[in-house]
Amino acid sequence: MKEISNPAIEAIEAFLDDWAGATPAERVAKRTSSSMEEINAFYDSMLPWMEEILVYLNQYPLEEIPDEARGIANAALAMCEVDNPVRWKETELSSGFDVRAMIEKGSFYDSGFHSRHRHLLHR
Amino acid sequence: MDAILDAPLPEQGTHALGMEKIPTDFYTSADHYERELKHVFARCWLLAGRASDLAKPGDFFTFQVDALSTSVVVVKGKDGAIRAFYNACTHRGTKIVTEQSGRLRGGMICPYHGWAFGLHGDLLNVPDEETFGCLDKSTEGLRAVAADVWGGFVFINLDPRPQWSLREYLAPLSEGLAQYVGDDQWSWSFGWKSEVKSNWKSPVDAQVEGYHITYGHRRTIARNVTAETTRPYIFENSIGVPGGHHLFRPEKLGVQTPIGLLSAKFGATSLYAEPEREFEANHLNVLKFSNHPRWILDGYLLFPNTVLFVQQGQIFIQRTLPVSPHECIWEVDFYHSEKMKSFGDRFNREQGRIQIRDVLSEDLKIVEGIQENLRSGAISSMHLSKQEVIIRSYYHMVKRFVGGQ
Ligand code: FES
Ligand SMILES: [Fe+2]
Repeated sequence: MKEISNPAIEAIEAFLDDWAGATPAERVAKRTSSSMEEINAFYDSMLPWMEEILVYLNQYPLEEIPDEARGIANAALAMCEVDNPVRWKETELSSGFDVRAMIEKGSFYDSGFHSRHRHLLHR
Repeated sequence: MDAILDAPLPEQGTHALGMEKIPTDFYTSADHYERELKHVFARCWLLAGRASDLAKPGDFFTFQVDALSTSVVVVKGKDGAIRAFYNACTHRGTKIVTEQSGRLRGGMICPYHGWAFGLHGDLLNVPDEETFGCLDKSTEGLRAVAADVWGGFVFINLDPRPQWSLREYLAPLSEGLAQYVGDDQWSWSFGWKSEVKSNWKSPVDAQVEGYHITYGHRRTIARNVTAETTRPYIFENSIGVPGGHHLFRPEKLGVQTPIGLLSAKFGATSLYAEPEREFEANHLNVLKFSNHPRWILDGYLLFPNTVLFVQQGQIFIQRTLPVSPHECIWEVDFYHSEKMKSFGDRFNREQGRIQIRDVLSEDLKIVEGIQENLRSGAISSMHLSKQEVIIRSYYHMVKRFVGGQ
């Protein structure tokens, strides 16, 4: 396959340190601790490049995304996280339950709170 | 196939079960709650796990019902049979298995004094056995719990003599549905759990009526799924399935964000956009409307606490377990039929995951508010529309079990 080059440009590079959290929890934390201005700045800078970024990343098997592209891949996933806040014009959905209290399960059997997660639920 | 495309959508629910109001103490009464534990959770089939997670002898998972102080271990035997036991050593009651899932080497050894049980629950070895006097090991095996499999899912029943087989219990569900969800293609992808300050039945109610979608989810699903496009129905004579619903897209989709549209290029699991890509799904054609161009999913309420959503490439299960009349453990789990191969798949999965998370967050906020209000006594009864008929069917089923009707 013809190599499609990394479309990262300076405008995006500047956001990667902050927005390219590797886990869903990190990306939620970044979103909920940011102002609407910060969210919009990230969203507006990324959006024009999104199609190109997806084409670029999509050329690799999932396990073979080069290390230098991981940041941009995580930033693309963070766009899914900020998509609704941009539309809502608020960083968290005021009519929703705190998504940080929706604990990511590790497996189907990672149920209940008789174990170690109870302390995470004080909200 | 084309006949079904032309078929009109079914009725928007029914008043076949009556129109009387539902008393709110159904959700708040401590006495009713105690009866639910005893007559519902201790007698019904409960979805506990996935048979494919028990591939080899010794594979196990645990299932916990805190409100009944009950821990069950489900394990695959050497003979290939799936068995369930109370996770309680017959010496002095220690929990034998402490992991949530895994593989046992040979058998189960109690961590307290080392009594050893085989995969079939039999007591094999007691350290210093002679110090007990005459211990009859043959009667001291782990205490059995009923277990059976439907649609690839393992259900357990805490009733020592379940009144119905699992098949009788789930009788109105089709063999085709069992085949579709039972296929080996499915693998667990992600899930969430939370403690929710509502009665355990309220999050169930929220997943079996479409009436709230247009307004309650106006900031998420927007006009891409509406009250008007949900079609509930009931199984009047079922033991364990109060009803189900079909969900369709409206003729004209609502808000499509640029991110949603990009995601739709790669898959079908987002409710927000029509997928651009064709999706492979074995046996999907057995579902009544799965050929319909606007069909999104079918949902089924598996009494008492499980809602099963089936769509192209995705199964989504919500379960609740009681903690008190006013609190429950809520969890959802997603299974996908296709492995993510490219970043596009990953992006599509993440977009769909976040959208459904935000939708669910709206449901949870609503049900917590309801519980507060019902506890205050602000209202003492509830109205149910035709579109909420599954809730009425569910109500009748609970009442039948607890002996209140
Ligand atoms: S309690 Fe299990 S060996 Fe003693
Ligand atoms: Fe909802």
